[in-house]
Amino acid sequence: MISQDEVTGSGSAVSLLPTLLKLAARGSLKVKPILLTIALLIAINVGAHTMVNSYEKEVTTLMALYSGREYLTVSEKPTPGALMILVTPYEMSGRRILLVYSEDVKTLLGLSGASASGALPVRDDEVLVGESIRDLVERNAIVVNGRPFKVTGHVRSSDHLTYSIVGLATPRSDAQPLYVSLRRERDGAFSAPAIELVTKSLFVEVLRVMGSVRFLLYVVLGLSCFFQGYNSLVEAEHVLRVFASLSTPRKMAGGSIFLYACLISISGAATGFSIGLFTPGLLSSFTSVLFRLPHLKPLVDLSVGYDLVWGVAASLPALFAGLLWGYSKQIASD
Amino acid sequence: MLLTNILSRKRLAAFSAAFLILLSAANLTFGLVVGSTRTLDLVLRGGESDSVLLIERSARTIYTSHIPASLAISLGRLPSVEAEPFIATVGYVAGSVMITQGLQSTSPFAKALLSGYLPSGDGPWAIMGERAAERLGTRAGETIQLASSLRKTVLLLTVAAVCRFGDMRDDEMFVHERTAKMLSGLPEGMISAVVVRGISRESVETLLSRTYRLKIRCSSAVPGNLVVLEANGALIRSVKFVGKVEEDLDLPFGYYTVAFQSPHLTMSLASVLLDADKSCEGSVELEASPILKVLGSAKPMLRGSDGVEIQAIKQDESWIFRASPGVYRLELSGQAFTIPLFHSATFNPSLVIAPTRSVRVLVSWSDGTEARDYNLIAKTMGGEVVLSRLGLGGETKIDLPNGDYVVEVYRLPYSASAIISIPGADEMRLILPSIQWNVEKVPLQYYTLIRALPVEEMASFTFASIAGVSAALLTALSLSMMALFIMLIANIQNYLYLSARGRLQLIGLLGASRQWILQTVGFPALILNLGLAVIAAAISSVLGSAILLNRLTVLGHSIIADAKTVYFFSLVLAASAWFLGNVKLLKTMNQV
Repeated sequence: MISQDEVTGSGSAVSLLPTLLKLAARGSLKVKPILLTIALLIAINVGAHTMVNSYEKEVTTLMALYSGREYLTVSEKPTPGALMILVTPYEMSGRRILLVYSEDVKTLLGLSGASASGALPVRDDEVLVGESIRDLVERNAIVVNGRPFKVTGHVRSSDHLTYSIVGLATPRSDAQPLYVSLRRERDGAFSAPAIELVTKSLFVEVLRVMGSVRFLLYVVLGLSCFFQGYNSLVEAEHVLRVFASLSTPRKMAGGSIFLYACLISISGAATGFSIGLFTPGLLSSFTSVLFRLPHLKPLVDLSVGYDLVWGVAASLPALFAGLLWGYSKQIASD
Repeated sequence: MLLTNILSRKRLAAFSAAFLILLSAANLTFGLVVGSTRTLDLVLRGGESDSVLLIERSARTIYTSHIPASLAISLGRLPSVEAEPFIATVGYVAGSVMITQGLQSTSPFAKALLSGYLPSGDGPWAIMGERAAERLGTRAGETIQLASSLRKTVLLLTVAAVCRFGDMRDDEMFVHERTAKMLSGLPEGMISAVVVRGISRESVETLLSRTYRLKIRCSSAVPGNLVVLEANGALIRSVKFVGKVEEDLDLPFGYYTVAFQSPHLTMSLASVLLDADKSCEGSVELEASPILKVLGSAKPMLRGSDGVEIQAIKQDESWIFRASPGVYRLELSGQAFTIPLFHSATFNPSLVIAPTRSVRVLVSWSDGTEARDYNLIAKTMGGEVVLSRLGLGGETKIDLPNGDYVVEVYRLPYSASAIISIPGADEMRLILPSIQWNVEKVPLQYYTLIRALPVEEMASFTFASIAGVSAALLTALSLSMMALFIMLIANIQNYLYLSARGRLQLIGLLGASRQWILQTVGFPALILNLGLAVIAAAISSVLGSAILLNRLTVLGHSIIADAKTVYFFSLVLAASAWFLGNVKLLKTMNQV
């Protein structure tokens, strides 16, 4: 039994808190489902977030390792050491081809891993023609925009150069300048092999989906806390009877309930954070022991902290409001 | 009516509002997670289709699958079966993942064309789906850079057309199958998958799940090799023999050609569609005394391999030689020709336009030792076979006219190839590699058993694993959320009964039975729940399509809205909440 002294104490909001906590510990306030709700929702967000972070880091490192050290980058912006080429789409005898011009055809072929049979062009009116369009050549010459070019050889390549006319000077003014290099541009959109960028994109997409879900989950968390708070106090008749019999001032009861809500919210968030970190880490340890898969540790960054903040921000006011509503309702009905 | 009297309108309105909000949020979350998982699943297996799709057994995505192109040819030979090769790869364009498919023909896209034109033949063109073009801000006529995800290749392509398909293809890009191969780095003779129509999945599985015995009986008067070729002409078995040979081969389903090959004689003996145990017989029939007719007035000289000259008889404007079957050397106007004479033939010197050039082909193993007993094939760049020769030692001389050729050497299961330009090169070296660098040349029957990956394939293997991990992550997320949502919505249901606990207890005191409570409160509440579930599903479907799904992508594809699943989920959630709530309600009544 709770004595009157224990309940009233010095008359402050804090003094009622131990009483509420004792009642909660005895199961009168049905605190477990509330804690569980907050903890699970936060655990889902934290667990998914930290594991995606971890996969993204580990996997992109693996990708970089496996995809080799050589990259080919084609950029629209000039980069140091890159070879400038001018590219124009062109239609010839009903076929789509490319006109590719560069001052250094030999380097261009080297960058593309292409080779040329015959001689390289040395004059502006000489060109190389891709293997796949050699049927467009007539008597060692090809006409582009009404201008005849002497064909000095053919390009053997496993990229677009096999469909290209490669020369030293462009007869078109609308050619698009591009810059080719063997360096890997960190922010370059067209560095190949692009497996690292593809994987990163996949994780960014997954994070974006989870980001959208996350805010919905906080809405759900808020509503759920509100109704659970209400249900909790409606069911806790004993507590309310004690409060009513002591004629506890409404302000004091409100303060105590707020502190109680704070404690529940923060404890739930902390528990959820721990579960969110511990469970995937533990599962990863098991899979690494049992199946020899690489062990991935959950990776915590600043954005994971937001999960905690959002979790508390969504659950605390809703829980407080729900508890207060339930309390007011019961007191009023009594 | 009694329900509103017992639970009060105000309470029911509050419950309905909260239930609707929570259920809509739950539906939206579920729809998003399920939609992402389904989209990822569909993208990884190359889209939705009612056909049967065949991919490599160990591959987890269509983009990392390698299967022999010959399988499509073999399946296409089954009665009323259509088999289409499928090449797909993952590219990267302007910060966005781009699923790229290879096309043999653009004509099926005619109805979907929005802008531009549909190109014919191969070339540096691309056809874009409407959403993909919108996302990249690209129009027909513009040039884009497409980076390969697995190879050091960046392709410059002109957007020839933009199409609206009304399905997943709106998020994809299409190129000629040759361009797709450049991007994917698929080895010669390999494709990503085969799309099969006109046969059930079970039948295909049964057909491909075992090997069949092919019994070959062959006789030949001249020494040579019995060779078995698969549907696309690749050599899969070669046995040296003279006289008679009996060979029992256990081979997977396929269309095979059995041929005889000697250094100067190649003859097709039989073709077999191996879909059951079968046998075939063939013999290399040679003419007893074949006649060689040489056109022209200049007198030719014909010598046997032993140097003995064969006498010629002049007949009109030609010379006639009668000899036993064998290989001869013909000398005419200062030029020499090798003539394999196994059947009567005519030699027209005026048709010999270009002189040939002799090339030394040196074939060795990667450790430097000489290779023996191999098959040498020379093809034009267009793929036409101009020479097929059996190589006995490390060096073989071949005569080729001017032009560029691909010379391939087969010593099964190993193979190698190189390109040579005539004139220009008098010697070429072919090195037979070890199996781990040559995995695609492994005989078909061992194909599914092997997991030897060259280093450059590791990226695609890892990609497959990551795709699996992402799918598993999203599935786990959706399952845990489902459980959580049932729990949360049950709380709202509890609120409805707890808030009216006083009234319900009073009804209990007045002697209301369980059945009466269920009829008066329980079942009307169930109808209310189900009604709210339908409204919530409708709200979340509209909100999802309008706000979320079009903005979010998975592997460059907009997330697919699955309204049916969302409605089902909503109803299950509402019914579960009602059930849990009613257990609580009856418990409350029992306490009276």
